[in-house]
Amino acid sequence: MKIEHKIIIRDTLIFCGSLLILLIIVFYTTLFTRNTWKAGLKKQTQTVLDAAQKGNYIVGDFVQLKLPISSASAIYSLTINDEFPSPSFAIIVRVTGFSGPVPMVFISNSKGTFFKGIAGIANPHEDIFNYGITDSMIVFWRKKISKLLYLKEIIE
Amino acid sequence: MKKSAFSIFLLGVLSILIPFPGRFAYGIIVVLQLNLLCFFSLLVEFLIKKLKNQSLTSSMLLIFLVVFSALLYQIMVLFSPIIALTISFTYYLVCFSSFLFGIIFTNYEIPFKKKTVEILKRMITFTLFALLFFIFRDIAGYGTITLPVHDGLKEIVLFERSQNKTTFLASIPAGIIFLASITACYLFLKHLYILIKRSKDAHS
Repeated sequence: MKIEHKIIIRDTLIFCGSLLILLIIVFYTTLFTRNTWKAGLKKQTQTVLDAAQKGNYIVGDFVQLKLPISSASAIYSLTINDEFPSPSFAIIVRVTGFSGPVPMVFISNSKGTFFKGIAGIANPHEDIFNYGITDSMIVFWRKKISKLLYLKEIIE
Repeated sequence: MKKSAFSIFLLGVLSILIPFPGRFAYGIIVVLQLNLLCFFSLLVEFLIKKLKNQSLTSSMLLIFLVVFSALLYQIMVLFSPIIALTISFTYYLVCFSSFLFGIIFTNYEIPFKKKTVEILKRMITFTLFALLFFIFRDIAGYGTITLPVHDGLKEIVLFERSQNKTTFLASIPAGIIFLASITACYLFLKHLYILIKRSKDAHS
């Protein structure tokens, strides 16, 4: 084998090796951050719901979805201390408005889906128009969430 | 570069700032990501040069850019899950931006030191421009300066804004208008400069 060939093989092996190591690091970091992701968004959802009515909502476990939307949202089981029927869900979802993406919190049960506020800002009940969100967008997401959540096969 | 090609390039370069919300906190995140990606790319290119296998440079750089972006996104999740959710796939747009491609995937033949200095100059200019762009939209639109924190955005209120009247300035359409205006002004001033220089040369 010529020396040039040996160099090419060596370089390719170094490249593939380093790439493999990086991909493994990304894979394990993703696994490692999954719990932080779930816990962080749960805390944010609880904060928004507390701002709506303190002590009325208790955000529960993460609900795994089999849909592409799950990368831009998180769904949790929800206990509501009033006459709302069970099961109920709290949903935090990335909605894109005229001012870019905004994380919004909804609650949903068999009575319907309701918008509760914007997450990650000081005042969750600030006017949605300030963030480029219109009422028609809210209606669209309410319908979409209701439709998705009550397809039984999507919840693992 | 021809004038029209330059303006297209300039808008392409600047358009990576548009998909992000018009808050200063997101500007800090974009700029940080762009600078880190540039630094990592230079490091990878340096290592490839050491290996003396330059035919693979572009493909290796591209793969490493994507992997580094994915790693940075995971760090973002650890830092603030809510900001990571808000930015989501927009975060990966930066690594495929014409700005990064324009400065990283070129000039392999010039000395590494010279290229590093050139990239540093461009990065500093772009960083300052991007930060000014985001801080202007944040102040004009919301009357605040926002900073990224674990629980989302920390708002430093500068003045109370009148209800709903100024938030358009922080929107995506307003961002596009600002960028187009800045580009147009820049090109016009450049045109004036060339005209003045020509007339001076003609008189002398």
